[in-house]
Amino acid sequence: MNKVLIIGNSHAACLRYAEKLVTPSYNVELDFLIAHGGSKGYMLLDDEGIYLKARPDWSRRKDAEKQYKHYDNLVTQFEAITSDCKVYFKNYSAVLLVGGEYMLNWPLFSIDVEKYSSGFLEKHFLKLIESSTFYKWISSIDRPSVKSKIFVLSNPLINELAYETTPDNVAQVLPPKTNKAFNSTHEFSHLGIKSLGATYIPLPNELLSSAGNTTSAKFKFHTPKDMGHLNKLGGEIRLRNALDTLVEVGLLSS
Amino acid sequence: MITGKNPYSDLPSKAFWKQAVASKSMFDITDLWQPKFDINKNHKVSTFGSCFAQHIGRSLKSRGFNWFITEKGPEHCSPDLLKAYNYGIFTARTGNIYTTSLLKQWCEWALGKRSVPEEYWLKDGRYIDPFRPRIETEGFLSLDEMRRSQQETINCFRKSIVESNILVFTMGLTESWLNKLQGFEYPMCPGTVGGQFSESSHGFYNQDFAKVRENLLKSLELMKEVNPNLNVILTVSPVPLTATNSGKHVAVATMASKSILRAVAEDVSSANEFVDYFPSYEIINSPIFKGCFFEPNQRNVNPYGVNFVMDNFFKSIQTGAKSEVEVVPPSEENWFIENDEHCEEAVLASFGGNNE
Repeated sequence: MNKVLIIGNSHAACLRYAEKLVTPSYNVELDFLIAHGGSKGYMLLDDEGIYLKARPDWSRRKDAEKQYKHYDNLVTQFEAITSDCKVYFKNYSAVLLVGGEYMLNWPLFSIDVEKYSSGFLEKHFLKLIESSTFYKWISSIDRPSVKSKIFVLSNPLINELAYETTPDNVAQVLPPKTNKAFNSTHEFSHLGIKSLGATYIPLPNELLSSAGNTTSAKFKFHTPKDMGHLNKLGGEIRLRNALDTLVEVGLLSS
Repeated sequence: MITGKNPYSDLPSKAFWKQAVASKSMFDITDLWQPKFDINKNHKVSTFGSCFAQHIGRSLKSRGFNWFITEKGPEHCSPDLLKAYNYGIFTARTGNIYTTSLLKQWCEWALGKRSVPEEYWLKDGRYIDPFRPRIETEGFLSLDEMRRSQQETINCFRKSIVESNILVFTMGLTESWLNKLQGFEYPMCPGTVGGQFSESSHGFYNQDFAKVRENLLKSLELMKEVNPNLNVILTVSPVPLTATNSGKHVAVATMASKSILRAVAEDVSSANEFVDYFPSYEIINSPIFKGCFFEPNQRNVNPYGVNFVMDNFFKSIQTGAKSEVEVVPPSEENWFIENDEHCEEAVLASFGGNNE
């Protein structure tokens, strides 16, 4: 059976929730290395695989982080799969990097793109991508055959700025010109990841609201404090989209 | 024997060449400037003008003063990229404002007295702003993008006039290039950094004392209309001309040009309480300093010169202040950053030697 490795943060949780629904159609087994927050900073990649460094605070959540309790079972899996501290890429058909990439997604949302030329924005954003963990990881891999197995899934981070409740809510929370910035983010992310020899997979259109810059409400993880994550239904669409992409490029068979 | 009082007998030692200059090491010469008004760390200070103005802005920042930047790049942007796209070179992304007539032109656009000409230049399929020809490294993707950027800078220029406490303007040139048909001015001769030169529509005009003064006074009048409390510091760039179209030797043209600018600065600052003159020109160019602040090409000011000028600037501010003003010494890193320079006019050097 084909295996796919998913490395990421809380935004990969929706894929985990959808796993059992989706994987039978693709004859694939998924391994998850995910935890909320900046856990990726505790991993190192090379041509062979991913090394993991201990993060002692995972089991000692602060009260403020209790909202992430529903991810704890994923953390448990993370720890289980990494007991030897290394996961080898050779065991996987593909590797998906998912979510939480501050430098890869956020900055453009916070600026008024109308103020800057497209030439400047492109250079600015490509420069920011170079600072991202994902970019550094992929850059640290030498073998093109390994890089070509890596797929970066865009983040629905715009959801963390606003979620689709009412148009007024969106208008209040989102900075001006966000829609254009959102599109620019995807264009530049695509360029940056492609330049490394890996592949960028944007958020599937069907997950977006009619405004085009937020995730549609029905795919949101609905808890009062969680504005940013996809639910199981959203995860299903996302996972199918990613696995379809792997089928298209011949890394998986459906 | 001379006896009795006369107007010279009570003058301070700075008034006498022997005491103030001849008997001192050039690095110990002091009292070159007595500021007319206070400059403290709360004051918003804008900087515009010729290349040398860049040093004043950066020095203000590195020494803990409030350099007022109205047109900023986005957060998280690399300093190299910001510099390449002319963010943080002047208060707004105007590029070099070499002449007082260009300053007036920017004031008129910013205050709605005149609309921005619709002219644009094309280069390799990209759009060049004729009034900021080097502001974008590869030009703008579209005319719409160029116009939006132009308007953003005009808005930011206006903000700097309206909200600044002090505006520092460094006068650089008297030689200017005009659109003869429409009457506006270019910062650079068309055909040098972009556009195409046309004998029929482009004209050279070397401004005399009266014209430079008239344009400066008009600029000040426009600024005071929207900010009656604004104070202005004039400086004259000590950097010689890269090239002259006057028909004279470039050294002679430089002296003529700088003399006119210096005379206008003296005239306008003497006649207006809100205008001061800071002698960066004298500090670099005076024979007192034996040309030691120039690079080997005898044009570019070396980092020691820039630093010496700015040290004098801040020491004078401290000495003249009504209350104590702390000046943070620049870090080693900032010391070199202060001395880096962006200069559109420098491109003219590449045309030299074509007729040898």
